[in-house]
Amino acid sequence: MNNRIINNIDDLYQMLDAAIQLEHATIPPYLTALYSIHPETNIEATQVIRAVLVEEMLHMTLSANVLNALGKHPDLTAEGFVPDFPTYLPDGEKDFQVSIDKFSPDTLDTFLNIERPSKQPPDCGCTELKGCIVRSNHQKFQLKAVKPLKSATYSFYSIGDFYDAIIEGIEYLEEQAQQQGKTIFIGDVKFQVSNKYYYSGGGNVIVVTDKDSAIQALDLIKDQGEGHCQQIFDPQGEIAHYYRFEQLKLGQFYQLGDEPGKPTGEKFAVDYKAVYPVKQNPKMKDFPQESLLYQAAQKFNYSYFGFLALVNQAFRGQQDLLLGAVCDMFRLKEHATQLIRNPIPNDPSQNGGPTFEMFYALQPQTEHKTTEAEAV
Amino acid sequence: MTHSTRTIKQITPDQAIEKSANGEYHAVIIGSGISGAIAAKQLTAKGLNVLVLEAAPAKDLTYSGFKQYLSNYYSNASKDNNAPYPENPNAPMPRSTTISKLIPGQTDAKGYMVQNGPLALDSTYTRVTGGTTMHWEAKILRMLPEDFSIKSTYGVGLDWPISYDDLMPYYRMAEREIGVSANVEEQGFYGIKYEQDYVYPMYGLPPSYLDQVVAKGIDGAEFELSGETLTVKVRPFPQGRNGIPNPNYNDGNGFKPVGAVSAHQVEQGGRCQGNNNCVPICPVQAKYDARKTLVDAAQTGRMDFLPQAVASKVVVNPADNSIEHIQFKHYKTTQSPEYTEGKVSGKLFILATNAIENARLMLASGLPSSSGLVGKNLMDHTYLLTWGLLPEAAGTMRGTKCTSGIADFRHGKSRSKQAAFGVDIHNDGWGWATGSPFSDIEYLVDGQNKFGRDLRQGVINRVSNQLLFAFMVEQVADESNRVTVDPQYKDALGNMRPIVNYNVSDYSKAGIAFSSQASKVFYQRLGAEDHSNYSPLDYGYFNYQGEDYYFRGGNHFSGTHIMGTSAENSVVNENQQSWDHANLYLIGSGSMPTIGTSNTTLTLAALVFKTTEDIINKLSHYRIDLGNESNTNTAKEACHE
Repeated sequence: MNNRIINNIDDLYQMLDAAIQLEHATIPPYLTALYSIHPETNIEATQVIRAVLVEEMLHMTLSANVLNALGKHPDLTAEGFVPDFPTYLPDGEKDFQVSIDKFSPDTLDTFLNIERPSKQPPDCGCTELKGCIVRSNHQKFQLKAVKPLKSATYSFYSIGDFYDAIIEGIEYLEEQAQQQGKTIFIGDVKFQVSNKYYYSGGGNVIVVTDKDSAIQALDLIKDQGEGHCQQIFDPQGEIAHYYRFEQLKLGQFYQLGDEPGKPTGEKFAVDYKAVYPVKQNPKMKDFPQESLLYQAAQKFNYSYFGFLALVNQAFRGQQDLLLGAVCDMFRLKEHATQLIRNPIPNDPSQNGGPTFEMFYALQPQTEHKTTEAEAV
Repeated sequence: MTHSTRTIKQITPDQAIEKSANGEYHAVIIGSGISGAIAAKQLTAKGLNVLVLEAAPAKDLTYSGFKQYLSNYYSNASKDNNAPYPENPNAPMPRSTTISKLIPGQTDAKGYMVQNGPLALDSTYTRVTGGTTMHWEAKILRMLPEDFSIKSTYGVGLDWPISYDDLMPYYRMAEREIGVSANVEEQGFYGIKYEQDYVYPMYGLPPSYLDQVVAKGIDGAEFELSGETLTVKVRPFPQGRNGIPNPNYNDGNGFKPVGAVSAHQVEQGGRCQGNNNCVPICPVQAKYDARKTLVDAAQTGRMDFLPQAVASKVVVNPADNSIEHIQFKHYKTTQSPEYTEGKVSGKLFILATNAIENARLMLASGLPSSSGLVGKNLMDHTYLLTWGLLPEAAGTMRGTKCTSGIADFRHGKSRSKQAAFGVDIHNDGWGWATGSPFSDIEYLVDGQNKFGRDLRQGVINRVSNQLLFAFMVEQVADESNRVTVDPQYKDALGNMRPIVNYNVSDYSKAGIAFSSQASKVFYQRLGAEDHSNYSPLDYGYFNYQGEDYYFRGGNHFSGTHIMGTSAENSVVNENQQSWDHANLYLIGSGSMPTIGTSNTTLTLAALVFKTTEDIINKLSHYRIDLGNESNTNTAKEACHE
């Protein structure tokens, strides 16, 4: 039996849609953990989480570029795009959940799980679908990425395996198209987000116009995420996410030439006490309706959905919106920190936190209108 | 970009002394600010070995060290230029907070820079690794071509021995090194020209909303001056901070912005986010500072970096008047004045400590030069501030500190009678003049008893209409403005401190007075309330033709070792080489005979590129492993990665 996962163009579209959703799904947990750290403390933890976070934003953009190159657009405002936390991500044999939570040893373990390199032997032949393992608990997974098409019981072993399947699909479908004198890369280049508008986000965005640039973009995601051939540093000297996080676990930076698990760089301490006690997976209903916290949570969610809608428009040709989005990100940070730094009125041992509950019925105004209140 | 090596290894004093004794250094560079860093980068790129001495500790080369500076700044009650930087009695620096009104005839030695008057100068520089680029604003203007010949054209100041055309290719290199964001089509005015097809590395930053409000009000205003009509136009400034890379740069190869300095891949600083505390410290390091260049030099493996080593004496070999060695004092900690002494040497010596410290070190070494001009002709830009309230909210406090200004008073016939000036529109409100927004909060809390939501709204109301113009007035060379030393005044290590004699000439005062007139016209056209006032109690106060003014220093120290055409009229030649000592170079803004109305950094950086070219030619017979790098074009256009 053919163990290729992508066999037609619709499979590919769906997998890329899923990739964008998957990359985004890591952002709320990373963002919350980052903002939960007391300001001016835990410099190393802050820099590591931040660096990974911005690279996830890059990965989402790269996946969107690949999808746009195929003539389709992503939809960040589709119902269910933002997962309901806690949620499962496809990784590893032992399933784990990803939560909106404060920075803590447990949270760090989760982050390591998310970014864990594939340990599956390349030719184990475990299943008839390449890169997948059998799972029995599929109903728990909310992300489309987990389930390859037409297989109710398989899921990818790692995020890297998932991208390998996409790359294989692209190579296969493009070769077929070429044989007929066609190409699958029929998207208009004007939809490609370029470095002009995407920046400061963990590397250069790649404009995708053909098979080679598509594979380059997807390889970059793989390399930054779980590493290159299980190396700490890629050939350009960039450290992979898993090892970035592992540095926090080990309290020491890696440097070139180090063995996994044995960093030899500068040592530092991580202070888990210098963190706001954010309630795990907070929901709007946890905050009394009349409270300022409730209002702040509402504002955050509303702004976040507006932000996604704006990015969505940017992925659909209005790239210049990304320049103004910088201000929106500062606004999100302000709303998030209001939540994170204040106790829940009827449960003062815990602080609030962004709930990432989207109001899909309410399509926020996405035009960039600067009111006087915002201007000051 | 290769991330993992973006750090600098340091050596010990003993290693530096030993390698000096073994003749291993082609050049000894004193100072790791922008001049020293560029010199180190250029020389090491050509296979030469350099030793860099830095007076300050090098903690700032780590990301956590930089973040500590940021924390210091946030927590410091004073937000002055040197607020992020801890006190270091072993290598002290001037701070504007120590300035007070001078009493005629009395010397004020409160601050590091001893003030002899008659006017108090509140300018500062920063003695940390990376130098004053660690607090600079990074507005980065080329000089006007006419600035180079101000004496022969307008009969004032001093001419340069070189022209704009001579410096033009080096401006280009400096703009690459610093990573300048600007659009050629907005900058080519009053004679400023560029090579055909030149573009800046990055596109210009967008003008702020405030800039647009001001432009709407004052664009087209006309002023009659010396029989010429000057028409005002608000123009964006070139910026030494990261913007959108121009894909047409470098023959279509583009430009890669250089972000934060860190060994740990922080993925930050690729572009300005508009944080508004550019001075003194950009929280994301999107603003250029010299550590970015220093790290490039370190990557060659040919730069030895010795921090906490204060150069104390330049020693001359009496036989041939060449420099034999430089003595330094190395301290273990800033908490103690204990030090060890040593001497370092190389084939040549480069003093890159800044205009005040270069002169101070030469004078402390008993080397006033055969012209006697070391320390003299001290120049700065004198700023007149005017501040008012606009009739509408203009988004003050948003964006980069200063994005646009007015260049139309920088040139023209009036320069024979009064100082030229540039104008900055400040996006940070009245901060420089009144300490806003902190002073606003004080007023609302103490004076109006406001708190909570009212306080917040009150601050918004007070700040969002604020407008501040800073008129940057030219100062021309005048030998009586000078730096000297006196054994009476020493720092903790026993090094003599700089003593400054400073005055503002009638030529500059006339420029300040005209600035004030122009300001009144601007406020009138904008319908703004003018709140400017200059108290006789202010340390910068002076009266000119019956009107009250004050001035603020521009931190643009220059002129203390001017370049010229002979050993009689100058300290250095056009390559910043000492006329008296063939193996000594004094580099930086101290070499500039005229500063015009441009912030000095771009021009001094361009000069360093010219100088290093000369040095490389002179040392060519010492060159090693040049390989394929010897192609000058390649070197000029080489990117940062």
